[in-house]
Amino acid sequence: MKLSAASPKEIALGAALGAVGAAIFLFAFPAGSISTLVHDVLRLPGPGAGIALVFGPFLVFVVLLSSLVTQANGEALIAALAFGISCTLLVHAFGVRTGPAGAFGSLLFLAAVVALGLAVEVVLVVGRAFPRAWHCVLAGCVANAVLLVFYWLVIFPRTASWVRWKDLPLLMGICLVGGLLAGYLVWLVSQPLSRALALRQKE
Amino acid sequence: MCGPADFGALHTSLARLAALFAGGVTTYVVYKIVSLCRERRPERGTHKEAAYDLLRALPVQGSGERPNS
Repeated sequence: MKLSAASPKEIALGAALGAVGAAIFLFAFPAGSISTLVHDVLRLPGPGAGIALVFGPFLVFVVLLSSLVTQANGEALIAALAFGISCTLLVHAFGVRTGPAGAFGSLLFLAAVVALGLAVEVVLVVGRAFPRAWHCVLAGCVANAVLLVFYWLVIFPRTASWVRWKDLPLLMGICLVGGLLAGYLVWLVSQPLSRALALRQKE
Repeated sequence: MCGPADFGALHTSLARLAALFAGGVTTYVVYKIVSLCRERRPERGTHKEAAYDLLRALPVQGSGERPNS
C-alpha cells in the first residue's frame, strides 16, 4: 500500500471521520454501558476490559479506516486527534455523561488517543512489505495494545486501580483479538469505500 | 472495577447500536439503488444517440446517389 502526503481535502475528510466517530461512540455507549457489559455480563476482570474489547477496537476502526480510505500519510494521527478533540468538546460543552474510569475528555485521554493514532501511523509506514489485509490486522493489534498499555500505566492508576498480574494475559489476549477483528473489518470495508471515493474523484 | 452495574444504560446502548446499524444498512441500500440507476441511464442515452445517428446517416447516403436519367 502506497501512502502519499495528505492534501487539505484529505485532512478535512480524516478530521470529519474522527469527529463523526466520536459522536457515534458517545451516542452508542452511554455512561455505564461498557463497564456493565464487560464486568457484569461477560464477567471479565478489570481494569481495561472495556478498553480492550469496545473502546480500543472502535477507535482502531475509525482511525485505520480514515487512513486507508484516503491513503495519505499522517491521516491516522489527524483522525485520532479529531476523535479526541471532538470527544472532549462533546463531554465538556454538551455535558455528555461518561464513565469516570475512562477519563473521557481529559488531557490524558487525548494523549491516549493520539498514542493509538501514532501506533497506527508507524505500523502503516513500517509494515509496507506485508499484504494489505495483514497490514490492517497488524495495525489493529498493535494500536489496540498500545492504547490498553497506556491506560494501564497512565490513566487507570489515577481513575481506578493498577491491573493485577494474573489478569494481564487474559486482558491482553482479548485486546489483541479485538484489534485483529477491528483491523480485518476495516480491510473489508475500506475496499469498496476507497473504490467509490476514487470513482467520485474521477467524475 | 468501574462502578455499579447499570443495565438500563446497556439496554439503551444496544437499542442505539441496533438503530445505527439499521440506519447504516438503509443508507447503503439507498446508495446502491441510486448508483445502479445512474449506471443504467447513460446506457439508454447511448442507444438513442446511436439510433438518431443512423437516421441522420440515411438521407446523407440517399443524397449522395446520382439520379438515373
